[in-house]
Amino acid sequence: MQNGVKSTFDSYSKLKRVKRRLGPITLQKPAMRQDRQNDRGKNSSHIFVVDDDKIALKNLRRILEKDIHTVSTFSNPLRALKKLEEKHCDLIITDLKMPYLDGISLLNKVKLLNPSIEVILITGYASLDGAINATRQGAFFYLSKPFTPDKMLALVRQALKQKLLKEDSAALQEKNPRSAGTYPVIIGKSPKIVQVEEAIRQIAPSGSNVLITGESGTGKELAARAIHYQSHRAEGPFVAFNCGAFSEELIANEIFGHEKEAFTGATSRKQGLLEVANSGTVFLDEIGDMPVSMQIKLLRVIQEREFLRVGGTRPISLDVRIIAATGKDLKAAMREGVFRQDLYFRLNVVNVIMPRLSERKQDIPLLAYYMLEKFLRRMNKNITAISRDALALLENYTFPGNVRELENIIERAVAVCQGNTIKVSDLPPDLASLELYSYQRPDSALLSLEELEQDYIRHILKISGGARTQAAEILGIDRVSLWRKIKKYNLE
Amino acid sequence: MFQRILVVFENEKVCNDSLTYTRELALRMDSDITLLMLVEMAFMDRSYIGSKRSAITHIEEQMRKLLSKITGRFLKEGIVISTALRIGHPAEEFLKFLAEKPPFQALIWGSSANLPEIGRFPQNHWIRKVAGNLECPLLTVSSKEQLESPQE
Ligand SMILES: Nc1ncnc2c1ncn2[C@@H]1O[C@H](COP(=O)(O)OP(=O)(O)O)[C@@H](O)[C@H]1O
Repeated sequence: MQNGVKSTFDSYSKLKRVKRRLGPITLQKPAMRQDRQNDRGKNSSHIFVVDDDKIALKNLRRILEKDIHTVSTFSNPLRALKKLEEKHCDLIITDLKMPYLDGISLLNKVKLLNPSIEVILITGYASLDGAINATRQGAFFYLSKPFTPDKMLALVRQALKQKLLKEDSAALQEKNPRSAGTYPVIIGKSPKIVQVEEAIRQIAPSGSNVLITGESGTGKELAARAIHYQSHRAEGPFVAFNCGAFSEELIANEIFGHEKEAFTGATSRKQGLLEVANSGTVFLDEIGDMPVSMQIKLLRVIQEREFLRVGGTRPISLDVRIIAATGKDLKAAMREGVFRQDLYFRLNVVNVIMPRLSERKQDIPLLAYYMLEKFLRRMNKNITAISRDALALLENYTFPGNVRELENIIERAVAVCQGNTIKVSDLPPDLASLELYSYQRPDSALLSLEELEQDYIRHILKISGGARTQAAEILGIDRVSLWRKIKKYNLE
Repeated sequence: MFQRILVVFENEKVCNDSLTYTRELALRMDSDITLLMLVEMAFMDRSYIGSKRSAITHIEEQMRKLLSKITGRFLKEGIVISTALRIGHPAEEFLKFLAEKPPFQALIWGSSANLPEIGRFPQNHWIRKVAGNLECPLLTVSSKEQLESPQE
């Protein structure tokens, strides 16, 4: 790579001219090299340029360095990817058609590695389809050849501004985790997670309601956000709500809002979640814990696309997509009568199933490094690797708390780690000293109540030595019911 | 989002490694802990209950002492913990308990390093019957040293 500082020096006077023309980027005359470097730190960005055409590379470098950016050029996209692992980069400008790896694939890989990096695609063949495809995948812009240096620089500035905005919103998000805004990236290469990503890509634009099932910490909310951001509602709000954490009255209040004086203590009007999320997406977590009375109300909202605030009389019309999530088996809940079938069918237009982390162990190293990167940015430490032993330990662990648990383990490891490598001793002690055995259903499906009942009756019959009166007594049902169930499940 | 871990014990038996693991897991998952002690007692005939009343009171007292001793270890770490005692048929009480409560994200067997076995038919212990079929994984812990030098 060429030394950016030096090149900036060389072209300083020229640069000032360019600046004046390009607009309000502050630039002071360099008194000392030291100061200039500080200045650079604030204003200039690191840009990777990827093109198999060496002459094009040279031209681009020349254009970009006018804007005091540090530029690294690559004629091989794979090299660029490799370099990303060790070098900070704000923006990648890449040609679309290249050997080894085309621009779109590079874009995908970059976004996976670090979603905050912006990408500009350049092509000689301005095909509209390609452009649409690229923006969907998070490309910033699509520039067709030939282009003027000014056009390129304007685009670069726009892209970098966008990046700053995103980072700001991420910082805001830190302070206020309830608000939407983070860019959701689903990390993983295992077939199971790739399948999930594929499903999300397909269903996101459709706007239909979605039910996401999976254990806690598997990324249900993340998937919901991904769906939101890939849909035409991306500009609208994303509002998450945990149905399991509130009492019945509170849920109604939170979801529908209330009119002034709807009840004692309601001193002002309050907008409910649905209203706040209008034209966006509502994420209802733990939908299985929603009280039946609320389920009826929710169903009505979905059907009629309007609702009333608590204590209100004027219907408010509504345009939201509902994404519900559950860790429970809703089919069993339906059979038991605690979840409404009609609501189930309304919500479960499409079903996304999040795999357990233990079902996609090959993703553990990738996720671990991703989390490491994430916490390093916050904690200001100089850790560059996770030791092989530590990774092996993580790979062999069952993760009952799934990705969330891994995330917390890495967070703690980063906090306690002294050197530049995370070692086994930085991991929780029980991970190293205890062997964990997990009894799970092999197919990862939740057991239905019927299956559970069947197992249990079989068990009770066995321990009561086949004495049905006794078995019925233990089960708390009468003999006839037991007899019926024995027939039904063929337990004789 | 808040998480919940359930530790299940049977008949006063408490395994130290399980508790260590539970504490660490709770910290990692930012979760609350519930300790459930199941004490086996048969109520085949309801008329028996009267005569067992004093035995039950005695058990309740014992268990309360034991459980409060355990909870201290968690409270020190700032973990929210609650306890429950159920007397009766363990599998039945266990499943009933799960049905009554909001879902747990992890279950941990707290009475021994491995799931218990009954004589020659290991699968006969009640917890083994239900183990693979619960709402979330049931975990057991054993120390690695133990595994490396198997029983003599
Ligand atoms: N595939 C994944 N890639 C990156 N981060 C993930 C992934 N899955 C889960 N996470 C992270 O793990 C944590 C828990 O995920 P979340 O969506 O809240 O799970 P759930 O809603 O299923 O409980 C979040 O911080 C989320 O960003």
